[in-house]
Amino acid sequence: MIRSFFNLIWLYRLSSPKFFYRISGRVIPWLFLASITLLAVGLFWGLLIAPPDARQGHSFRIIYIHVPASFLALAGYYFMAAAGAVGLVWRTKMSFWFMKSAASIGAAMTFIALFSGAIWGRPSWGTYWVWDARVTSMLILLFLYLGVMAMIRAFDNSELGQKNGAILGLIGTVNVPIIYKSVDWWHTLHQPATLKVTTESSIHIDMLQPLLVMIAGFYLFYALAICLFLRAEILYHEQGTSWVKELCARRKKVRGVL
Amino acid sequence: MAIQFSSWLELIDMGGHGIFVWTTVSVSLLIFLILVLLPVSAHSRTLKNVELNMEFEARSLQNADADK
Repeated sequence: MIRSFFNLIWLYRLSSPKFFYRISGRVIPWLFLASITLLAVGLFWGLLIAPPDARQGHSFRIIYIHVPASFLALAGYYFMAAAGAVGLVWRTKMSFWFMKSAASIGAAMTFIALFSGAIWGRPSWGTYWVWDARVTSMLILLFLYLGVMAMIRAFDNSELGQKNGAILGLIGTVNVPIIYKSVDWWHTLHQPATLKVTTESSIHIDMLQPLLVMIAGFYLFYALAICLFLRAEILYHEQGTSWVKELCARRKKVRGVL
Repeated sequence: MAIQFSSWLELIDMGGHGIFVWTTVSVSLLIFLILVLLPVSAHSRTLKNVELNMEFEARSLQNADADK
């Protein structure tokens, strides 16, 4: 009870642009270091040390990009839609800026998932593209992300654009469980999920370990990208405020000393 | 726990699958790079804009004083 109370206070303070700007400035170097390290270790481990797949040979190594990117594409959609919902209910501008940031990053992750999947399809399915249930629903996810991005920017009144973007994002959430379930509901070409929470994963431990490292690396990179996008957004919208002017004056002074 | 490839050529070729694997990896890393550079450049653009505005304001204040 007490803990959740404190958590809410933190959430509330993070919704202050100035506070988030200050805190994220301190966190970003660590996020950068941690994500680069994990991605480097994961790639080295996955591409060079993990054993080749018995049937797919070395082409299976694309999994170390494909699966983490797909994870973030889907989780990122929930982050974006939830931020939009918070913005609609509590009218906090930070939530809408978070939504805008998450839309761009999510679209990039979805593109990586689709691109890596298409490349992987060539050696394993014999074709770059199939209108398979999983692939098609992921393509719809990309269009939803692009739709939200376009909607936010489509109005002269930016508040109206943000609200409409949030609503479109919320409607689109219906697609996310469909993507998760698509490999079970329709037995088309895409293989079922490799990682399972409740039962044992269908992947050998030597291949699984680097995959988990890559997933952690992708999550940290996602957090880093959110911080960077959100800071740019905050600075842009708050450039008329006194705290941004003070920040610039201080930067100028530092440069004068140097 | 040993490296699966005995030479650089073998690593690049990956049994004929190298082109697929390395294309995926390099395109993804390129997109990651863009995801970092886009917000960083937008951030510094805004900072520069604010500094220019502040300089302009300071100068117009000086001019107003000089006119008096």
